[in-house]
Amino acid sequence: MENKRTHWVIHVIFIFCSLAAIIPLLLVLIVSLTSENSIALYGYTFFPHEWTLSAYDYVFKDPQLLFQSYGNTIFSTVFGTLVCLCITSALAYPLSRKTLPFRKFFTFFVVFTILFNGGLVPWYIVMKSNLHFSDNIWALVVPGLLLNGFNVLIMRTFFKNTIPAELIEAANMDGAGEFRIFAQIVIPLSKPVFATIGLFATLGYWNDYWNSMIFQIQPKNFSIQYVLQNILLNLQFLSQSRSSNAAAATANIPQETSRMAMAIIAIGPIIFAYPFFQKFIIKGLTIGAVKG
Amino acid sequence: MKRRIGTLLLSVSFIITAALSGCGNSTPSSDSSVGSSTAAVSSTATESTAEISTDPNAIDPKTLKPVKLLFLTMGETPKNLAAVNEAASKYLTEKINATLEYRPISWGNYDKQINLMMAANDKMDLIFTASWMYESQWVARGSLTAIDDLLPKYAPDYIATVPQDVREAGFIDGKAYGLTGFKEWAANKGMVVDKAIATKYGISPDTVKTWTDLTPFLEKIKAGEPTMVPIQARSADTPMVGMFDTNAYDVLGGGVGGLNRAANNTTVVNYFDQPDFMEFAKLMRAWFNNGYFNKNASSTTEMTFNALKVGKAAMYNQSGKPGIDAQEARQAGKEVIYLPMDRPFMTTGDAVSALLAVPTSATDPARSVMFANLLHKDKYLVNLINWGIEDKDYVKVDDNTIKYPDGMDASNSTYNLNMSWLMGDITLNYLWDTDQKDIYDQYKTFNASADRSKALGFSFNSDPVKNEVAACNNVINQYTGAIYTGSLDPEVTIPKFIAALKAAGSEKIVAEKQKQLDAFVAAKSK
Repeated sequence: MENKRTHWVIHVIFIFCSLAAIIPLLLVLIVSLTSENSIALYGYTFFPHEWTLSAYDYVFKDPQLLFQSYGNTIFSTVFGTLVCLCITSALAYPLSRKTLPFRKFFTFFVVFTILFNGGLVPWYIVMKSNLHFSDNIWALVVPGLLLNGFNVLIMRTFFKNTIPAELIEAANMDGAGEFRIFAQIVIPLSKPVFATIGLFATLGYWNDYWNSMIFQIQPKNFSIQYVLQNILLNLQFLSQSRSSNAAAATANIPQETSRMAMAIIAIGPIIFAYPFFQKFIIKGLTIGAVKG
Repeated sequence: MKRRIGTLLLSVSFIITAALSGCGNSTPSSDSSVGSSTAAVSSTATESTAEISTDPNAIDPKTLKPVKLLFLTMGETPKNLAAVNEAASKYLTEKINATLEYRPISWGNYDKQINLMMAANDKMDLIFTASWMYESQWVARGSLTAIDDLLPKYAPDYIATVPQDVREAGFIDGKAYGLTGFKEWAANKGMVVDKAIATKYGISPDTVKTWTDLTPFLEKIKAGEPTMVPIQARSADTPMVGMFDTNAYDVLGGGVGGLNRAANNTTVVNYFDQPDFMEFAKLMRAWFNNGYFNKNASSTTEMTFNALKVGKAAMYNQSGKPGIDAQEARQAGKEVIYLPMDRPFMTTGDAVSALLAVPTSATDPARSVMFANLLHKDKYLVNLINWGIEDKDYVKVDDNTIKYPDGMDASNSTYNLNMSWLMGDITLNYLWDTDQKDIYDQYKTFNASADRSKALGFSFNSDPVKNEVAACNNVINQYTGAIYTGSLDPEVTIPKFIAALKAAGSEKIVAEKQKQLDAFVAAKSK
């Protein structure tokens, strides 16, 4: 009897938490499908007076630009995440092995970059003038997102704690070289951390608008978040612009609703990435916990 | 052993390749002298390294070295920008042997982008600045070039079209840093009123000449229109902002301390502490108590014209300029009339609202000035950059009027820049078929009839008192929203407000403003 009651209490708590997370998202979706007029008259509501797709029409009015920036973002996300995982693991794995010479120095080096950096202007100068990451697709991949000291430390800790040193010794005695050990023993055992870092990297790349803002010049090189942000800013400007030729059209542009439509467009694909990664993370966590 | 060496060699070669690729050949456009610019003193044009023709009148382009001009302003990148840049480059090569890359930067990023480019000493030839877009900060950093020597030689048309007091309003420490755009340089304050309501209740510029005249009409509207609230306001946009904050006083850049316009003197006072502030506040309170404002006035951020659009309100506060009634009619989606409450007033902030400045990283400051001068003289160039290519982005209705080609409007236009107000001389632009025909004459009359503030040309340098300014701004933000919308009793709130300001150092700021203003007036009268 006691069991059943606590069960129900737990159920209610978690139902409440899930609703608190889902309902705002649902509201955003509904508002994006409402007409601008009914927002002005009746405010935000779950049961709009007028359903319409005009917000999406407006945001997609320049499909070529949107698709191009989707392409940029997808490429930089996929490629960037893969390269990020390669580099991070290649840096983290040696740091986790006790036999690395100067191991303390290298670890300190990585930690130092987490705590201190040169600042915005030197970063900008190095990336733009010295490395020429300006107005091309690599400006979306490399600066700021490719390698992160934090991720390196997470991976290193995972390697240290999960991969038994005896296992590596045994493989060594059997004649495997370092690269082989890494590729065929360590990586297959590290799926959870790869999924975690992969998720962080994917989110970082997907949500990135900063790199486009600083480095890209032509619209065809922008990422999707920056394009959406620009549409919003320009819309705000246009609706306040007060010049005669603009106002005729802007009187009818959906402003509030297109903001919501943009939010839905921005998070749409990434929502599907979560369940995909979730599988790896959960499985991996339980494997790590059981010793032997 | 062998495999160990192999791996070692492999890793070493990786490292060496990586290091070498970093020192790759730098393209001509990247500048290697990076750290020095932030400490550089503002350089005058005579130190420029490019060779320029010294013939003051007919500048033969062939004697000039070819230069690539990078022109930066705010704006949305239009679809046809590449074509326009090409056409402009062709045209400018004939005129001043320069090619143009015009690059609009999105509004939210403009200041950040320009700051970064200045710090990295990226090449920029002409940029937009204004009293509200960091002009004084950029001059203080040494990032803008003084162009006093270049203006008479290379910008004669600018000097001819923009009057001297307006030009001098943009000077900082007596030096010119940019070319002021020709547009409206003053503002008057008033109310935009729904025309149907105005006709019904007899509201017009003849019956309403001052703010207090409005009160009986507001009563009538409240009684006669149950679904409407007479005035739609928000804390940034109440009649008090209009009647007081920017029109009865020249606020000398904002914050504490201003000049009383009616007194016409150069005594800086803390205008929050003056008797007319209390009087206006009491008027707002009376209006609020009688229900003439919308209930959420102090907290809403919605644009005020939206309320007129859906019929929720009858009028709202708005800064005036020529063509304001037609403009607001488009915003509100219905006919409106404008009630001006005072003559136009020109302060430094109004006069320096669009400036094209030459950064220190320009390749050839003289060429930048020549280009900017063309924006004050050359009708073809101005319309090319503002509206695009004829017959592709617009079609001509008659000699001076244009409209969109069939099937195009503002939402799908191929050249949707809409920045004509910041590029040189606005009167050179073709009129849209939706514009009023005499709008440019209206501009000229408006500017000529404006009262000039005694402090025109003075801009306050807040560095000596910047802590007090920050503290006072916090106090102002805290209290003025409620005072301006009449949500709190002014008799109680204003004394508290003044006390808080004094505690934050308002008297120091007033003294500092007075000191700088006196120095400015003394220097001017010399």
